Amino acid sequence: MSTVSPLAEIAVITAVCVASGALGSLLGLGGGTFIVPILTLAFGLDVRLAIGASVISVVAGSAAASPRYLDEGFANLRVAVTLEVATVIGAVIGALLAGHLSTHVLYTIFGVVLAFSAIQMLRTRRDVTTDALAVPGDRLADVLTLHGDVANGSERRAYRVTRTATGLTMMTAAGTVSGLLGIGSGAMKVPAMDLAMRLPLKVSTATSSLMIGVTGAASAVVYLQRGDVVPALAGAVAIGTVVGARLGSRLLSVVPVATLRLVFLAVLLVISVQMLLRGLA
Amino acid sequence: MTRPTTPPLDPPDQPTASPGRATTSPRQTMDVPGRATNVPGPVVTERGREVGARPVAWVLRVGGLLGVLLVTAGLVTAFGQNGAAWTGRSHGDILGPGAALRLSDLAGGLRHARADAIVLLGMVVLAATPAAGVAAAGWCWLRGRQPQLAAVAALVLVLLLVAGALGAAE
Repeated sequence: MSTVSPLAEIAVITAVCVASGALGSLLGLGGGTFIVPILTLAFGLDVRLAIGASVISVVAGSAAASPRYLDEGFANLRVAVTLEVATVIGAVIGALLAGHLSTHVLYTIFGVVLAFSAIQMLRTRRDVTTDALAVPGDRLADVLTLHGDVANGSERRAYRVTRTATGLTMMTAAGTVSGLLGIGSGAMKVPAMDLAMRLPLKVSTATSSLMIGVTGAASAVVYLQRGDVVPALAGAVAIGTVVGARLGSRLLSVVPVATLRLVFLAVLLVISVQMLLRGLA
Repeated sequence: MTRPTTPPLDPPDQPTASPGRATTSPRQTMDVPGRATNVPGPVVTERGREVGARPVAWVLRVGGLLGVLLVTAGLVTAFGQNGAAWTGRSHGDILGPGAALRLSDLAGGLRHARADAIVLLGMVVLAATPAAGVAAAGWCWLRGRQPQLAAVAALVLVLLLVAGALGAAE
């Protein structure tokens, strides 16, 4: 792309980020998962600048998507803010680490995380709260009144939050990966809430989307302070991702997501191998 | 097995079942299989929206929109100010490491009406938006007499400030 003018390059990056944001929204992965591989593998950009741009887009994407989840009562604000204590700590650790790790290590970690995301997509998701009556008591969840209810058809179904301490531990890891690679880490956050804390899947997804913004903001501050953000690049990526995320949410009802999921599972694995090869080269 | 009683709350995200009042959702849950217990439910409004959800959604919408508008305005201004750098590589690489800005460049850049500083300001607004959302939630919980949740929100804000300080010290 070096012979192409920056204007054309920015236009292509924006268009690619629209597609990436739409796909991320459709597949529940968030746009950030694809942005860093695209910017580094296809456009040959520096991995740290790509991560800096991605982290801004992650915050912008969350701000665009999560108000709707709050309005519809799917996101659990109390759970989100409680778990943000852990994700923010993790994100700061990750963002600080990213400044000291070699690009090879960053590529390798990214490849592993993409492979993990692909495995998460393969896993058949089912709402564990519907078929499991036993929910262990959790004092922390009681004290912080984390329990909630969610719309289930015409009525609201109550659910009980458990294993908050386990959730906090898993969220620290998710935050670290998010800060390190500039992604939302939804693939780690959703299972932590869905499987460990027994939140309904719909609530886990919506709450994860809300949390991603705060996690991203914590790492964005570090990247902005360190000078790893190129305004024109990050601006184009952020705008493309926001437009794509909105487009994706509108396309959800007309696009055959199951087919799309299979196609992009393959794409995700290919990108994962590419990132691993670059990291281990 | 229900908890019909409600603390006299006055959450900002009205309407509620009775004006100025929020309702606590009743629930029946299982501690162990077959044994039901009552647990404190979330304070919710009539439409099932919890305390703080509406102000937080509003803050995220306004902040997100403002940030994206500033970024767009900055990019358009940058193209207008230095179109040559956008159409040819001879005037410096606007996508390379040399074009990166630090947060400390913001005030000076804005004073000199630099377009990339406007884009950076948009990003700062975007990054500050989730923090403003947490602050809004904390304020609502404080007003709703949920000090434990307000304290958690305050802790998140302190951690974000620490993040900024650690980033600056890098």
